[in-house]
Parts: sequence; structure tokens; C-alpha cells
Amino acid sequence: MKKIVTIIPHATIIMSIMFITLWILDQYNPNMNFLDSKLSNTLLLILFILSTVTSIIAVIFDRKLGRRDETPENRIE
Amino acid sequence: MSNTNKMHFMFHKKPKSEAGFSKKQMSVWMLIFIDVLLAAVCLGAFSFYQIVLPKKLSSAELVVATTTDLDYSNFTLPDNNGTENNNIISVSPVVQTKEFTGQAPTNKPSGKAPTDNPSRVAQIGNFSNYGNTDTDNISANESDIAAFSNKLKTITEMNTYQSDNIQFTTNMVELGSGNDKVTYYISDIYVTNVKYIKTAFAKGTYARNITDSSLDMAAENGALLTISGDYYGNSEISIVIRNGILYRSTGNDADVCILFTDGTMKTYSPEDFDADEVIDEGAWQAWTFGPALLDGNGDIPGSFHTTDYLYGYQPRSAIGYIEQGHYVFVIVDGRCGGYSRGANLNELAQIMVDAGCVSAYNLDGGKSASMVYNNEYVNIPAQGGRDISDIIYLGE
Repeated sequence: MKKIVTIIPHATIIMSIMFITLWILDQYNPNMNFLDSKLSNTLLLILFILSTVTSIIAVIFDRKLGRRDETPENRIE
Repeated sequence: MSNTNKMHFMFHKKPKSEAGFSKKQMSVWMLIFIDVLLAAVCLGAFSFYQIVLPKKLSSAELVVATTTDLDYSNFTLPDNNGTENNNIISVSPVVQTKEFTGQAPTNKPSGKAPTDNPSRVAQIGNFSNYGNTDTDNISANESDIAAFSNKLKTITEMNTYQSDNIQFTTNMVELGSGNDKVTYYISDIYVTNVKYIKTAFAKGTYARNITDSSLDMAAENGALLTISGDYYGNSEISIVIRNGILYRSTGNDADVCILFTDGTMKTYSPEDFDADEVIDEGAWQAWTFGPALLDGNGDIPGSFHTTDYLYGYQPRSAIGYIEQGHYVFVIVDGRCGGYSRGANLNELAQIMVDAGCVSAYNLDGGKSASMVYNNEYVNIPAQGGRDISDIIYLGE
């Protein structure tokens, strides 16, 4: 589980960089169909799922950090 | 947790107090660098799948249109005793004919007559209502058109052919000088039936990423005159009708060009296009690349449905419709300073206007743009050309 939590944000970064590049290429030449193909549609769905999971992980981490901050030994006086 | 410790936690490092007991971790920048490298690898794999890996496409291959010698769609070839080629040179303000030895037709086939006269050039001047309303519509530029139209043209006949069913003359037209020089090839074509305007897939296969040179495809199909097509193999979602056979009917956001069995050719914006309707009307060929260069009445539209990059100076391939049985193929060479810089869409549209076209359509250009006659390139394809997925050709 810990490994998956570590890998998913990296997978999100990789997929995001891919789609930024494809988007730029598509602006130049939409006839190449980089964003309209079945493969890019499938990859887009994967990116959405990864982004959702990454966001959930970030929210959980943030909550944990918040709780840590509230413990007496970490409280800033 | 102090702010400093919080930052350390976020960047995968333990707080300073624990640092002595933790394993040494990779820096965050190294991790991001590795992610970028992996993204590049993934893009490479994506491009290989998308552009290189051949994939045969499935299709019902429905016959949606046929042409016969006895039906309404027969036209007569013009009388070949004429002395001038109205459709190519008459509207040019200044024309210098260097070598023009061919005899061009004078009597046009029956049907709607082309309006190849200087008044059309004058009509282009009215651009007051034109505007670039969204990023996908690039405005036609009046000054570009005027400057291009006023250039001195030198015309050289490249080839000519005549049979009972097909007649064409190809001219090389040069205009401008130095790095601003443009060279294009224009074939004035008459056929007695649209069945002589054919298309062919690379290696005879309807597929993605199966490509061949236009020279090879022309030889395999016994083509008399060939130009590059719309590179249908780049996409999975464009309408493909070839020689009356429907391969797929999905539309995308590009303009569409249809050649009908009655000899007419029309262009459609994606909003106006209805696949079922054009099939019912007898679509013989359907191309998706675009944009449409003329509005269907022989005038340059206010804007082109394209992008900035595709609008600019490029090698071009285009097909034009003058009247039933009378068409033009145009190839503009480019990316070679001193020989031809290429043409933008305004200039290509102006070439089609000068040829007397009422409808015209931009096909796949760039390195794909090529014209073949007698198993040789007529033009000089940019950077040696490239293999393409389909051709348009004249064949008996």
C-alpha cells in the first residue's frame, strides 16, 4: 500500500507532462489527432483516476500533518 | 511541527532531529527529473503506437455510390482546337508566358460556367465584415491576397494528356523572386465521368500508419496524374469514402470535401456536414483535411477553419472544382528559399480563384505534397517528401 501511495503521484506527474506535450502539439497541428485518438482518450481516463487518487492522498496527508501540529510536543508556542 | 520541519517532511526528508537515523533519500529534484525522463519515454511509446505501428482498420466497406457510362453523370471533353487556357492565366493581372506550347481547351463542357474573370479578383476586396471570432478561424488577409495576386507570373507547360475520357494540362507557375519566390503546379483537368477521378490507399489497404510514396502508389494503380491525398491514416474519426465505398462515416472538427457522382464537388464545415445526407446524394469521394478554400461561389471566405501554424507558408496540395467534369489539382512547393517558400492559405485560395474554381479544398501539405506524372515527380517535394497513406489520381 505504501509503495502504491509513493508511485501514484509520480505516475500523475508523468501523465500530466505527456498531456501538456500532446496539447501543445495539437495546437500546432490538430490533424495529427494526438488528443482525439482512442489511445489518448484511454490515457486521459487514467490521468483523471490518478489525479483523483493523488488528490485524496494529498488531503489525507494534509489532515495527518494538521493533527501532528496539534499534538502538545509540536505545538508552536 | 515547526515550519522548517514541515517543509522537510514535504520534500521526503525526515526532520533534522531524526536525520541521523533515516536512510539517505533521493533529492526531490532528482525524482522530478526521473519523472520527466519517464514522461519522455512514454511519449515515445505513444508516438510509436500512434504514428508508426501499422494497424489495419476494420470497415464494413459499404458501396454507397456507383458511376456508369450510361447515367446522367457524363460530360463532354472540350474542343481541343483552342489557343488559350482561360482557367489558368486569364485573371492574372500581368502574365509572362515563358514556355507555353500546349493547346488548351476553349469550349467548356455543358453545365455551370466558371466565372473566371477579373471581376472575381475585385470581389475579394470586400473584407469589412471579416473577423477572427475564435482561435480556430483564421481571417483571410486582404493585403496578402492583393500582394500575391499582383505578382508577375511565369508559366511553363509541364505535361499534357488527352484521351477519349480524360484531358489535362499541367503548368508550372513561378512568381516573385529571391526568398519570396513561389512555385506551384496546376493541372487543368477535364473528365467525361467522375469515375476517372480515383483514389487509392497505400498498399491497397485501409489502415492506420500503412504508408507508401506517391510514386509507388501511382505506379501500382496505373495513374496518369497523381497528387497526395488527405492522409486519412492519421485519424480514426474522419469520414472516408473512396471510389464510392464507405469505410467510415464519423465526422471530426475539420471541414469536409465531397466529390459527388454527378460531378459536383462541395465543401462543408463540421457544423453543416451530415454524413447520411451526402451519402444519399451520391458521394463518390470524401476527404477530411481542410480547410475549405472557397465558399462554393468562387469567393474566398472571411476566415479559414484552421490553426496559425497550418495557415502559414507551407508546401500545399489542393483540389478545386470549376464545373461538372472540370477540376484542378494544385501543388505548391515550399520550404526552399529561392525556389519556393510555400503559400499561406490566402495565397492558395487566390490560386484557386485565378483558376476559376467555385469550390476548393486544402489537402495534406508539407512534405506530403507531391504530384506524379509518368512515374516521376512533377514538383520537388519538400525535404525529399514522405510516404503517405493515400493518393488522388486520374486513371482510365
